[in-house]
Amino acid sequence: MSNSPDGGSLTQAQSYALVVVAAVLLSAILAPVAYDRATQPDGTVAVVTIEGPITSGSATAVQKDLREARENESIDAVVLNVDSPGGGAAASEQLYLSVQRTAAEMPVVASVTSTGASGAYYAMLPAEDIYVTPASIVGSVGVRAAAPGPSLPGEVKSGPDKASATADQRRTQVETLQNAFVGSVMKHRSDDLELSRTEVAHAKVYSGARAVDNGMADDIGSTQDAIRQAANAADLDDYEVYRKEPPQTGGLLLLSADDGGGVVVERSPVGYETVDTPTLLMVYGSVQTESEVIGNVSA
Amino acid sequence: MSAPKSRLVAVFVIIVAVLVGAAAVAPYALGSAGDTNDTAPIENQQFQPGTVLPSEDPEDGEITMESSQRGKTVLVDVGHANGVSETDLEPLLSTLVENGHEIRFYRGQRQELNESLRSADAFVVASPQQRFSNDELAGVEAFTDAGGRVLVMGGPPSVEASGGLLLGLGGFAPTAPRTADLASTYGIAYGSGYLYNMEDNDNNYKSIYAETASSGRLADGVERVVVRDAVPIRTNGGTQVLVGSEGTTLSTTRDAGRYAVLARSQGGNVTAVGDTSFVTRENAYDADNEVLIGNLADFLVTGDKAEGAPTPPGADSPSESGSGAGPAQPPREPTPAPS
Repeated sequence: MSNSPDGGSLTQAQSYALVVVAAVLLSAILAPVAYDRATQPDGTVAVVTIEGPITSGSATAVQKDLREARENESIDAVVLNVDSPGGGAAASEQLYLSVQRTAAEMPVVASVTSTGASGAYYAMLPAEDIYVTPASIVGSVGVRAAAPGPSLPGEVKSGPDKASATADQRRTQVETLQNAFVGSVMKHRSDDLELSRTEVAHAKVYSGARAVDNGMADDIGSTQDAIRQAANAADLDDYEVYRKEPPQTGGLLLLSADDGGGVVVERSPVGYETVDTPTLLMVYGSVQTESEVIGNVSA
Repeated sequence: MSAPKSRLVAVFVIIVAVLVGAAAVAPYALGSAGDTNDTAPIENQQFQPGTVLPSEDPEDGEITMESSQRGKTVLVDVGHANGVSETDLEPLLSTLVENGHEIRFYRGQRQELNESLRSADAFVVASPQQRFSNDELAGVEAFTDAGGRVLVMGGPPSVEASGGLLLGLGGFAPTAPRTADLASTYGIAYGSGYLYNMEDNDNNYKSIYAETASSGRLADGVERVVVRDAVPIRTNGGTQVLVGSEGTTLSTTRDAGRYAVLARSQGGNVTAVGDTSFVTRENAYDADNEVLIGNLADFLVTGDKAEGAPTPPGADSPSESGSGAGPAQPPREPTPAPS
């Protein structure tokens, strides 16, 4: 730039050059933003994992993931990536309610990679589609009550039903939860089900192919297929996938003592262990033992 | 210069006020105020108490006996590793004692079964886990031939847990009641598997209702009873007294049908029940169980047993050689018909 003698005005060419430079500079800042906007996906599909035994701890973590998905406006659909044999009855119900809440706001699709049985099947009932593979299993719509633990010698109780229940009471509890479970299956799947309410209550597990055939599941497909279906349901042509880290929690442990007595312990993810007897379970299969923890329990 | 400075301050304040105010109002204007959507109610009719709570039958009634008989002796088998304890049988045994009868237990320690049977009028066997020996079977047969009454009870094989709470832990030994030998003598067979009913049950599929299938003293006043762990009973020439209600299914075949859970032998001196739970105090007042228990008590004491049967081993007649303590003598009188 040449300095004019009075320093006041530029030549016309200088002015144009200055404007062009300013415009290029401004564009250099705005162009990437515009480019990003043009190439930005229409939305996001969140993948939430339900893995391992359902305990109050793992259920809380999944509930948190689902709540985040609901509150995050950039998330338009949720895929449940399920590999769980179920777990505690109350925790499974909590998951069901949370998935139901999410499904009321955005498309939810479930993908069973290996096992989606009992409490885990309960949890994914509100999903609009359940994807399975031929070898994955779903079903086991039932409740079981473990036998009550032995009372401690010399224990003083305030009432006859404190810390114990009669067989009649436990049968009634199981029947009550079973009614709720089977009722939920019929509520969400009765349009597709080829099975009667009684057949569902037999609590059988079905392989993926059989489940699609009888309406316990909807389609054969991978988690990718489930993601695509969720995006379609949310009208997303172009989407990105956000995978939530699976919750890291302790499992449902069954500790067996040397004398043959046993106690079920739910290990809390926050580090303390409470000895408990969660007598009502929605779980398929037998619960694993962890004998090395026996020393921590004086039961 | 003072005027532009104050103007600058005013502009600054206005801008801050507008921006902060806009931020405060924006959530309401944009409708994105936190958890508002989370409060929208979701109807779950399937969880309402009226939908999920099962009906519970009242447990009432009394166990009474019709018979005016007194002083009969009822021998109770606890000597074959029986899966049912004296405590479990208590409602039946208490009723007998309250009505003036004597209860004795065969423990298999001091004397032979046949010796104990000799002084008894009735014999109760519940869920024996050890086989009856040939001598014992012959002795029981002689006992009933002489008019003694026998009540046999046994359910499905029970899983004896030797460790842990849930299946799959520790050692489990399925132990089937050894009722086959004893019952088959009288044309009664215990089936395999267990009975269940998914539609009509007392709050569990295995807690089935059994209804009367024939008239007679055992069914007197009984409309239906609850059995919680039953096997089907088949008879040859006997009478089916109680059968599972409609929809009762056998676990092993998954076939629904009319399965008997209580039957009386052809001669009438033997009653077999495919369940042991109904007699426990916890279940004794479910449905008409208390009536059935009273009827079974009547059955036990209304026999007419001849003295001294089964006879001691040395007293058998020469023609019955080599049969030990078998049915040494023919019945002294015809088998009484069912009363």
